[in-house]
Amino acid sequence: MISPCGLVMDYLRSGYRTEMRMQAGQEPVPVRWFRVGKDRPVFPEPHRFGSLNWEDDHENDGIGEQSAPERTYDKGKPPAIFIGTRPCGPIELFRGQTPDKPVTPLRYVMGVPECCKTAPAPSILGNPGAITAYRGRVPLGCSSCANVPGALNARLVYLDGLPGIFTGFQVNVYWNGSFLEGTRPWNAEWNPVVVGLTCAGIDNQLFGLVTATFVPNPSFGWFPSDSIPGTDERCSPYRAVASLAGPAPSESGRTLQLIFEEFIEGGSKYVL
Amino acid sequence: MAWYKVNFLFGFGKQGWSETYYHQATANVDVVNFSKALAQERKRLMAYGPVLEAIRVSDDAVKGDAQLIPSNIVGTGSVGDMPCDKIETAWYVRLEAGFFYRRQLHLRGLPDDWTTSAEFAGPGIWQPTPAFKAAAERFCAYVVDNQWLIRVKQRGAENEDRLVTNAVRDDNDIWTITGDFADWPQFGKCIGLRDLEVPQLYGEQRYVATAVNTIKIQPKIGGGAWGVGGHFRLVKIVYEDITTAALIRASNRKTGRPFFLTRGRASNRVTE
Repeated sequence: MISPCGLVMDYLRSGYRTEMRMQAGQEPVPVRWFRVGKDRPVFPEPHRFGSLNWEDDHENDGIGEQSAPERTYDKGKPPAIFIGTRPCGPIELFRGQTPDKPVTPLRYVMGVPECCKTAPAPSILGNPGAITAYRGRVPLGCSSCANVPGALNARLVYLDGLPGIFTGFQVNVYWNGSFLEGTRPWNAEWNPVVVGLTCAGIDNQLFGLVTATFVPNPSFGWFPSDSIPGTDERCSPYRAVASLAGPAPSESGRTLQLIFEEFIEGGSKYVL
Repeated sequence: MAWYKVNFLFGFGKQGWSETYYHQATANVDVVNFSKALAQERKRLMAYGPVLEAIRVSDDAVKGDAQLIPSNIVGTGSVGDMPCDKIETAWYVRLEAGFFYRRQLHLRGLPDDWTTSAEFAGPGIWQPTPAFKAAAERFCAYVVDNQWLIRVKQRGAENEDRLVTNAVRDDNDIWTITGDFADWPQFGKCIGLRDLEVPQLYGEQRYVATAVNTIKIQPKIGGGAWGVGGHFRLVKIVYEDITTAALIRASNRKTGRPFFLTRGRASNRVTE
């Protein structure tokens, strides 16, 4: 059902073999804690499959590691290869929740889940309105900006809901309204623009924070993410996040958009 | 609101240690941000060399819950080029929550200048340098001012003791006690036992309330048979605000192996 694909799931001093219950109501399955290199990304979300070593006692009969009567030492030798920089399976299962959609079993090729090799196409999640998945270069935002919510947020994620772990991405802000401060449709003080990267595991902290310094333009403004300060190697791998905060422009008939243009994963650049 | 456990994982060559803190928060992301801020304060006390390798955040009430913040976010010590060659030397900080609860915190990974070269006040005694004292007091104040907690065991009052008169053991060595315990499960999941007929069971045991007025106790392996006599008292895990954090004295405590050795056991061999 799920596989971390070699991502770091916990920090331990020794490996061991035990059992884990992957879903409520299912029988526990044998698992092995093994070492991975320090260069491996950590699992990017909170999850329920940490080691019981960190608990006061080793008792658990719920989801996650079980209080197995026989826990055996393991040298922690890793498999020959790791493939993938993202886990496989719905994020709900990693969180111990029940996913909305039916879960398909993992397909293994040469002992490795196939989905570890090929990540599904990314999508864009965000508001306004209900969370909706957009595929490709689809604008996110309002088409008529008379009544825009107070903020627009967009995250580049995979279609199964897991956040994308990218080594680079490009996002642009599109606004075809006025930039005149007098009418305040787009104002540095009231409409700060945050286009940034978040480090793995941290959802809200943006490393790039730039207030709206658009050069007044009669039609639109482009804002490349690679000009953001602080987007250095400290943050890699990271998630792609963009948001527009503050009171929304109130110029009707205009369009405000966050557009993810491209992302880099595993050294390859993909254009959305 | 949930109580979160925050583990700081440190490493220095072939040694490593961890520090544990607690905080209350409504969501993981909040406590992650609190932890990162605390990490920045903690790094002010670290020499060049020791590394705050990672932070582990977990909901203390959910077994196996884990969220990892990797080293490329938390980073190395920030006390410039002041080296540290002996991390066994630490400073003992006493954390107190009101009058009743206290906990030890051993700050290690300090610059040598702050410990071994400080004013010598007697055999085996070091006085903090003014620079270290100021930095440590800043850290202590931060811990107090930002609602960090200690986790303590709150024992019921003496008059809440209840006499054990009807314990029954089953074939699996699980004892069942019935009685008027309807109010107990809401108090805690541990009980303290005393004056039992078999002393091996003395101490705190976890219990499972399987039904109203029924408590089951599974003694530790080798705990021996239990008669039917004795008293027991509930023990509750509570989280208390740290009200005082005081620098007490230098300490010398060995550390274990680190979390991030790529393989094998830690070696004691000294390499030149």
